[in-house]
Amino acid sequence: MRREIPPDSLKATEGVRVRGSLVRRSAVLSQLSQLSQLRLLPQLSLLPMLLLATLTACGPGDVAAPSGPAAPAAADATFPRQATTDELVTLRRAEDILVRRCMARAGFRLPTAPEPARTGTEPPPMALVLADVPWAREHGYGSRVRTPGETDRLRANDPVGDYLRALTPQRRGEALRAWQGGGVDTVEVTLPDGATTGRSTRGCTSEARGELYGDFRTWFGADSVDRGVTSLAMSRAQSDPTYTKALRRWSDCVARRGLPHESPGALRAALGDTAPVAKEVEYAVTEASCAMDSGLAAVAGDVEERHLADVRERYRADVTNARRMRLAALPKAERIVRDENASRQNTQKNNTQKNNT
Amino acid sequence: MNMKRYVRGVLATAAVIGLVAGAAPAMAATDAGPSATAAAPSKLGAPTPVRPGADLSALAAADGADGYLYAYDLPNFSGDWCRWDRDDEWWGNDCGNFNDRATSLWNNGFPGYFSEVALRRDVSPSTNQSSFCIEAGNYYADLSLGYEKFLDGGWADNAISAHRWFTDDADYIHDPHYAC
Repeated sequence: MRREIPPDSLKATEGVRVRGSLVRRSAVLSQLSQLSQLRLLPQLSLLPMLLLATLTACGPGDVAAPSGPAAPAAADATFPRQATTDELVTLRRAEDILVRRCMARAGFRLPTAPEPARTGTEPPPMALVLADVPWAREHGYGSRVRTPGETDRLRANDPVGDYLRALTPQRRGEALRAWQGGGVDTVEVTLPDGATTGRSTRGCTSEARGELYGDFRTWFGADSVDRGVTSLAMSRAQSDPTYTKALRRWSDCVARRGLPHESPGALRAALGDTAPVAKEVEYAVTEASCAMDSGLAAVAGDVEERHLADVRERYRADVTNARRMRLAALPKAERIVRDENASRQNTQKNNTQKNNT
Repeated sequence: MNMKRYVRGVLATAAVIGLVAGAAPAMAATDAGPSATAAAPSKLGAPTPVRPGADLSALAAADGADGYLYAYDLPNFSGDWCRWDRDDEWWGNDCGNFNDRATSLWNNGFPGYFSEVALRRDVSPSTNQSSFCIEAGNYYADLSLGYEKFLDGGWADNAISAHRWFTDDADYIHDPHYAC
């Protein structure tokens, strides 16, 4: 049911259309001129050299054991290794700390947010399908599904949100601009699937990322494309004939068990992100045991790796840069987190002493 | 008459120009497989170019305290629009029916808890539901150029029907959409 565009807005829409096509064409032209004149940023032209250094220094022996059960395919060994989940957590924490300091400089002393609850073991890979029955029986889908109580508690314990809501609307607007840059001085990049994504280079979030990873613009492009590579590969894997053939058997299997859904994605969507534990476990176990019984588990890993390798190869420079920049940022991130923890402990100690006297 | 369809035609033409030039989304304009995408960026050995983006400051200026998810009918934040600062399970009731219309999006939400948005295709679990996510601060300028956006590979353009804010506290690299 589309709403008809009222006649009086046609003129405006016409103007928009012309403007839209002009914008698009000029974007293409600027890309052309960038390519033909190789007017790349100095940082960008440096990166291939870094990349080469990485490639020569990083043989298969340097590839750390992945944190997930999926073994890296041989093709992946020609890239710098992926950061482990623990390392990503450190990077995320360091980024948060830098953002908080930046917001304090801008006049907003954000209260300490509760540490995100990363409880339990790291989940097995489940981008395409969850295939680990014992894990499913114990953890369901892990932290991606919460009980209603957990969701309520999460929403209730939001000191930063409370702080923001207590500000005047004007101050709140200022806080958001300080944080996210207010939509000015944006950069954008074309993702592997063709979509254009962008964000402001201003604001504490982007500033913190620039500080941590060396250069925000380069980081934004590399990180966005790297994530886009995974998304595109997953999309392609799901339409791969080998996968879809096994998927039909999986779908029959879950239907026989009372959950008639076409794909793991559809099954999870039906469950939602908030569900009682028993229901979550029922869905997860059904997904996983049918993955084993139907043979979907056996093909999913291969199909996924094949498409990942294919798309990664096409975006080798971006994937390499993103991984390289994460690894390069780690020592700094660890230092930032360590210093922050130390100063927090000192503060707590001082407070305790004060309370005791 | 369908103005939007016409607009998309114009833009698709521009995208083809981009493809021939080897600069635009090489993998977007065709799904014909590796051989047809010889113009992919890595062939040039250079990272995908990062270019100056849209100026969104005027969009949020009207409301000092922002924090909204913005959706626009047309590419590049133009045409009819709608915005939300909380969850909405059905866009059909909003802004005169925004169901299956969004082509550009901006998450101008506050960072922190419930700052990411999962955009959903269908609202009924019995149908072909899927989603994709947008981080706080990020925008998608033109969904009509990308053709694999929902997590199951379906088109996202003119197909979003609902959204919810969520907290991504499990940013697993092996599955960037773990919590999405």
